[in-house]
Amino acid sequence: MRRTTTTQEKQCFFCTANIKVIDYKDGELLRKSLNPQGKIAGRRRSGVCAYHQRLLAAAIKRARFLALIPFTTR
Amino acid sequence: MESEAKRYEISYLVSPNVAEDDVVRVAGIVTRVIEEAKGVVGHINEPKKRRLAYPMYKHRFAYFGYTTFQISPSQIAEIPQKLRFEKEIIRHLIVDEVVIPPRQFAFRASWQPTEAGISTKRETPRREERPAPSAEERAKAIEHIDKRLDEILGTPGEQ
Repeated sequence: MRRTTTTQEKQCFFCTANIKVIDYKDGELLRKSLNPQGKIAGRRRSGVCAYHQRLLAAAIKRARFLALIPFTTR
Repeated sequence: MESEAKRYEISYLVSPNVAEDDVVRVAGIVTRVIEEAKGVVGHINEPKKRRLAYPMYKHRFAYFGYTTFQISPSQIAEIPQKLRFEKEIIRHLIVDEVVIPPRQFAFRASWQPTEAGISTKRETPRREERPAPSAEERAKAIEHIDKRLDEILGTPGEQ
């Protein structure tokens, strides 16, 4: 079966918004990159570039430690 | 050899058993510990009560605050050692200071991922909002449009 593909080119949100530093204290922003289970969204889903995905993952892990965002949800 | 001071940031969670007006005192403990380790305190963000994403020591809420400071890397290890004995601080994290460029704030909380995870909406309006045109300008514009229309369609008398 053919996979549905989007015709739009994926653009990294952080690149387009000119975000150079991802703050781990900004739980609201980080939550948007989690799936309903609280896992980090993959690049395929989020369209984030490799550089920002690395920064994002580090920020999410810090925020989880401080209970700003969940490790997991039921 | 004394190494050069580096900028750090400590964020911490204060136990909810502390009274709301007593939180500043606990923030003072962090400041004191930093100063005891020969650090220079920068910005202090007062702890604010917030709901935790998961319970910690059976607490559902805690005060979250952070403090920036400068200290030589050789001294940094003293801070967690001392904070261990402060029962009111239930957890802390020391990291390199997160300096957010001032221009970045405008884009906060504007991300709306679509189902495919692609945001097609423009984050900012294309043009800055202009002030509403005055009555005179509007009249002029209408006159101009009328003139152009006449040119395109031809004057009504001709047809």
